[in-house]
Amino acid sequence: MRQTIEFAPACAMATIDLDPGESLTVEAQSMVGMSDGLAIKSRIGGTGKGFFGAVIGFLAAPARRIFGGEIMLLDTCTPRVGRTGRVLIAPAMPGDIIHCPMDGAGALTVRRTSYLASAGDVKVESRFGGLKSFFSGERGSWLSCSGTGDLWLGSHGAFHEIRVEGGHAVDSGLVVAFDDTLDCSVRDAGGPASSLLGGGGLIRDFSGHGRLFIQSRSIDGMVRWLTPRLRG
Amino acid sequence: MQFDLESGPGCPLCIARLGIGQSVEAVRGAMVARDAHIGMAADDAGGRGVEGRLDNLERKMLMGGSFSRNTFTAETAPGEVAFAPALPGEIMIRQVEGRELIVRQSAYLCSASSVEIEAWWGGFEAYFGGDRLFWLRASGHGPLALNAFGAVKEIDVDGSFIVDTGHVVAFDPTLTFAVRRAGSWYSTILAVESLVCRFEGEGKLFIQSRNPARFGSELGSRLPPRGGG
Repeated sequence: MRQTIEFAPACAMATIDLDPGESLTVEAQSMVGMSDGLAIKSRIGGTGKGFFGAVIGFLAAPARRIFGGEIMLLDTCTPRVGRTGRVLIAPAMPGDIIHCPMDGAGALTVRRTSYLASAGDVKVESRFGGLKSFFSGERGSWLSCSGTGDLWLGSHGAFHEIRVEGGHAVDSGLVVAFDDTLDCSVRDAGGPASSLLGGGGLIRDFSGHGRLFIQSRSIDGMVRWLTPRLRG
Repeated sequence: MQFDLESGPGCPLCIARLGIGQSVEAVRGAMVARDAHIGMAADDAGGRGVEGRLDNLERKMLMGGSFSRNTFTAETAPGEVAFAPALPGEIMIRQVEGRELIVRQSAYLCSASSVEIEAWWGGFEAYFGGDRLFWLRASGHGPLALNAFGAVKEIDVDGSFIVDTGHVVAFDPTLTFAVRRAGSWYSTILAVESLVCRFEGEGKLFIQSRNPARFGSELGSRLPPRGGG
């Protein structure tokens, strides 16, 4: 497999070339284009493969709409036997893409909307973001990515990697991914009253040792800026 | 006439430099600034350009009724007009020297008046696709500027290639395409399906690295409901 990331950091797009026998799993909406003749298998993100995985995923979908935000559809693209293939992916918002090689050592917790694609034996599972995050109306759920292979993540704005040694606090909307060696707790940015009043947003406190990837813009921040400027 | 890009990071301006008697046409709302002596005429008034040639019904069918242009003419002295698109992204300039180009209507920014811009019938699929796929055909001679959401990537199609409709900017008329649904019955039931264009033949295809429809739904679903319509 070969991959190139072009047009970084403002409007990055990744081109992934698959060799015979390889396949790539893409979040359905992140697919920009592909070579013709790829076999595509869809499933709902976070469920198992095969028939029972499909049934469970399908039955769980309405529940997930309520509890975990949105549904994620994963398309697995595989070139025909003996053929190569090409897939182009890009995130929704203006921003960058990073390619994370996964070595099987530990899992990475990833914001659902930051996940673009994965290859090899990378397992993508749903992860409950916590009651606080749910009740505060924070949109979007979290995924746990583990195993060996490749992982592509997209950011809104630029990526910034932080090596957490001890503790770090970040605006929750800016968190893209973090090593599961880090402990994470969520609190209101502006004290107990602010979430009731629809104000401040959430802060995530990280402790331990590991990598933390953040993005330089948040959709929630953009929405807060945009909303009062829209005229009915 | 010459088109130059004044490039900021990711948000360039297109500057049209006009000689005496030359005119440039641009999509309504794209003009940022112009020399005071350069005259402006709306297309529908002058009867020039696309609107002049199409009656209303045709216009509605082929262009969704939303495409209109203004003409800027340097009558007495040379001058400059600056144009900018609405979304952040690259501006692609192409010299249409007899080589036709099929352009997605929303990607059109401006062109010399020597460039002929006509509605192009992309077929029933393109019209009924629901994604408002309206096309223009650029022919003739002179510069043409297209705007993209994000960066423009040029793809040499030799055989066939599939692109999400939201990413298509322009393509050579040597390519044929068909619109079809992407994904499986899953996506249909969950209402997350999208449409793709399958291009076939040999020629250049220009795509943009961001999808305006996807950006809109990502942002729009988070905005509070708006009162009063």
